[in-house]
Amino acid sequence: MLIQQLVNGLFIGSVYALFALGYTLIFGVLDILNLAHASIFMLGAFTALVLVLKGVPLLVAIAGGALAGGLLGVLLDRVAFWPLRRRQAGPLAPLISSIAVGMIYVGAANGIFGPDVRHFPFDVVRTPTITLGQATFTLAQLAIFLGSLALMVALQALLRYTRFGAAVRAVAENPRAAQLVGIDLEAVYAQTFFIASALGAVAGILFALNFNAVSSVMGSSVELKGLAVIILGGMGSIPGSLLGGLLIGLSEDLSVAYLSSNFRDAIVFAILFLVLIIRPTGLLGQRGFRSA
Amino acid sequence: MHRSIRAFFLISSAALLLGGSIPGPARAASGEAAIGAVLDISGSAGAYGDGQKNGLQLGQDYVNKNGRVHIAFDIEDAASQKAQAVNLFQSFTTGGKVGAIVGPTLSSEAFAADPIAVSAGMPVLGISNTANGVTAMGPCVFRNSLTEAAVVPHALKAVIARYKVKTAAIIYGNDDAFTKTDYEVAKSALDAQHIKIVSTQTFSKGDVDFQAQLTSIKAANPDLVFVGALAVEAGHIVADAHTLGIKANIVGGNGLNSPQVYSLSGGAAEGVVVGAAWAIGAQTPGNLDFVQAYRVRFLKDPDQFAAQAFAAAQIMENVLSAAKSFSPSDVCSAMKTMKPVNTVLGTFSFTSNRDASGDGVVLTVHNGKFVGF
Amino acid sequence: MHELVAAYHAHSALLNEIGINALLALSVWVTLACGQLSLGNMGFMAIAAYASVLLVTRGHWPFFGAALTGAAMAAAAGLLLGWPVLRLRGVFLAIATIGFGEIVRIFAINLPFTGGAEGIAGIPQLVTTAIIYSSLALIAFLLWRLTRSRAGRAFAAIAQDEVAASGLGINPAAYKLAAFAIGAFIAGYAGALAAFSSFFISPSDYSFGRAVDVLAFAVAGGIGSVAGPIAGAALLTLLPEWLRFLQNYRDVVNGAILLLVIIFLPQGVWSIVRRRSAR
Repeated sequence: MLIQQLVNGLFIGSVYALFALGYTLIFGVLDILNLAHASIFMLGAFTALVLVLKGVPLLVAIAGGALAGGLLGVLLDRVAFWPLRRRQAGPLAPLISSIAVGMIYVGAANGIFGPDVRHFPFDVVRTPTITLGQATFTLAQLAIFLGSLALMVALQALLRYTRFGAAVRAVAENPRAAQLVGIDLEAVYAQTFFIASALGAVAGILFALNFNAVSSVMGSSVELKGLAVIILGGMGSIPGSLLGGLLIGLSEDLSVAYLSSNFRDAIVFAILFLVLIIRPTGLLGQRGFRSA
Repeated sequence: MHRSIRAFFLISSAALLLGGSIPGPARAASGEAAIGAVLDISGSAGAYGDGQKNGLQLGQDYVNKNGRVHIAFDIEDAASQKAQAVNLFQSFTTGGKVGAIVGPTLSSEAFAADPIAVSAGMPVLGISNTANGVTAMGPCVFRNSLTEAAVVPHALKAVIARYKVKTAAIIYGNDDAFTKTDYEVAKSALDAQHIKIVSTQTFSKGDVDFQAQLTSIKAANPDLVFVGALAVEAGHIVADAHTLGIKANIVGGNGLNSPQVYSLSGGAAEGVVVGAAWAIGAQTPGNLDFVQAYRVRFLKDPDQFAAQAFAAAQIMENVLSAAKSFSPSDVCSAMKTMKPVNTVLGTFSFTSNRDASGDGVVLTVHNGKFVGF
Repeated sequence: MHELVAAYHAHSALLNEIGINALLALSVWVTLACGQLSLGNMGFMAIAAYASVLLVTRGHWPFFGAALTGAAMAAAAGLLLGWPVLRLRGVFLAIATIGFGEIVRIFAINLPFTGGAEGIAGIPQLVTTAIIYSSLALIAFLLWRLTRSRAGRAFAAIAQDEVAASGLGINPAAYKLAAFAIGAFIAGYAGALAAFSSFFISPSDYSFGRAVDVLAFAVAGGIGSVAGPIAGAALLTLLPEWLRFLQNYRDVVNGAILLLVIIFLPQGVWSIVRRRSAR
């Protein structure tokens, strides 16, 4: 049973990690907590669902959902954060404006798609079950786990080895200095939002594919877990969100297995609380991507 | 630019404070009985309120076509929020326009909102409240929804009798009144049958990942798994149990009586047994016509929420045609003396405690459809 | 006059909700005035609500005694929570307090005496609109006096720049802890009022989503004065009721209006009234 629980935990943890990357990237670059991220997670899943129902192949639908998510992220930045940046508002205003955009996105999904839970056609999502020793999982779960890891590695490489990555790191470190050396701040912000939101959308699509359910309220089930992940891993750290995601996933499954499912979420929040008190920078916070 | 926006806010907030607030229920035409309906069409319970809204709309058309009495349901969205349900109950009870209120969707909303109707003498017909004590709140609080206590023991008994069940596991939502009641009812029914409960697991509203709990259940190797959940979570639980290779008989209550249990889980729902208030294939008078009309209009199968809402329209048709007037007190006394009515739920009558009478049905999923067990 | 009475009867639940939301908004505002973003108010609200309900229904205490005891328990919890999290700043503090609120809610689901998910029904209706609004007036007045006092100036100095404030001989830790406790007391008192004006409480009343709503009340109303959070609570509580005619698209417009307020009214909606009267 332990092995099966470990597999369960790693799998759900990888989706949490992918979702939390978006929080951490935007926080790392702009120092804001983007509470609309969960709504983009949800709209990404709806976009992919609509595409699949129109007969688009699954991989193309995932790419389409990611693109839609990225564009919604850029739109979010333009309407909710850019005007506040321009007048140098404090940290509270962007928090509330992101909540407002989240409300608009969720409300729009509820209006367009209705409150029903939708699902993908079963021939699209049904994959063979694999049994390895004592562990059972589906091919889709394995693909989701490996795909999430690959996306995280790709993002880390993008930040470390490309010109764009260098610009992002410079802006995260010190926006004014970055501007002085000729970096277009607004362009970096827009690109950051695009990437963070596209990843959030992919997380939503993978989540929806695995559990085969898409609904306008699906974001609420990961919203708080994502916060726990970035605190545990270290705000602004990409390896941190991977580690944090996997640890949160494992702690959930192991607390169900060996303690009590009644207190599963309380244990997650207790971990979050302890990490904040003992080590507010999180497990890998010091080696964030600002210095990657 | 800024000034005009400021003016806009000033005017709109003034309008809000003075005249705005809740729009009153539409005035009923003469000879037409207005009935308020407080449903969760958005928010976390939106998937259930949506079926209720469809069922009521269909029911209204059906009743008005019959011509015995003219009903106008004023359907308002409580957005799965207790405070909004309370506000709506208050505006309905004081507006002087409606003769009764149908709803609210959740028992937790009923506990907060129904007392307002009780103190105003306004009759309430719950169509999905299943918690203990809802109808005990007042002499005019009724419901047409069979409780879990009425249906779950029958389903468990039937499964235990047919298969050699010695041990059972329970998985239920512990943060929701409905699913928590499921647990209590199932536990006492299993205890009464001397079935050993080998694992008890909980989850939270909105969860989609049940692998951890089900892995623990699998390790305990029960003969039967009772699922105390609403349709969406139940669909996921059934799918995950299948993926993990759990072979035990899966049994549930009213919450599982929804097409979503098989639409969300594919073939995994085959053999699931459900104790419920209504069967989609039941040959009760008008039921198949209702199912057909629902499919034509809403392009999907009705669920039990929709059926109970439709039955509410049929019940109100009889009540209102017997009532002396459409005033709340006359409607309430007509409800108290109501004779058994043919509805899509079967022949329906209220018990002396204003609950729904009957034992419900035991169904199983066969070839992707609910059929008699 | 008769129409006013009728309007009151039709909307008293809504009026009560506005008053309670205004108190909650003030509870966030107190900590914000001291430069701290706390989202743990739902936890404090729950502690006081359950405590006061149990004291009245089982212990047969009078309402005010129970409500003030519950609020005091919430304030004590505020001190206990505030002490370890004081050194956290900005969103880190916010997230820690979210964690606290969720832990309280999960305990409310699982403890033996809270009724679990089924909640506690049949709570006597001991709170009237008059009680809610006189409490609001009293608390708002005391907070307004606080802003004019030495402590209020210390709060503002800490919010502005903590290091500079301690240079002026202000002890930031003490004031921040005080702000935490005051905020927790107000949230707790509001929780007791809410419990005794709504017949029923259950853990889902104290969810994260509501904590965020309350923060939005305070910020949209304007955190520059005591009146701002009250105005924000009134506007944002009325808005969803007022927008009912939009049906399925209600939240879209609701969110859009909140966005417009944040973008175009940096000092909150209350600033409109203020500027008008200053002219």
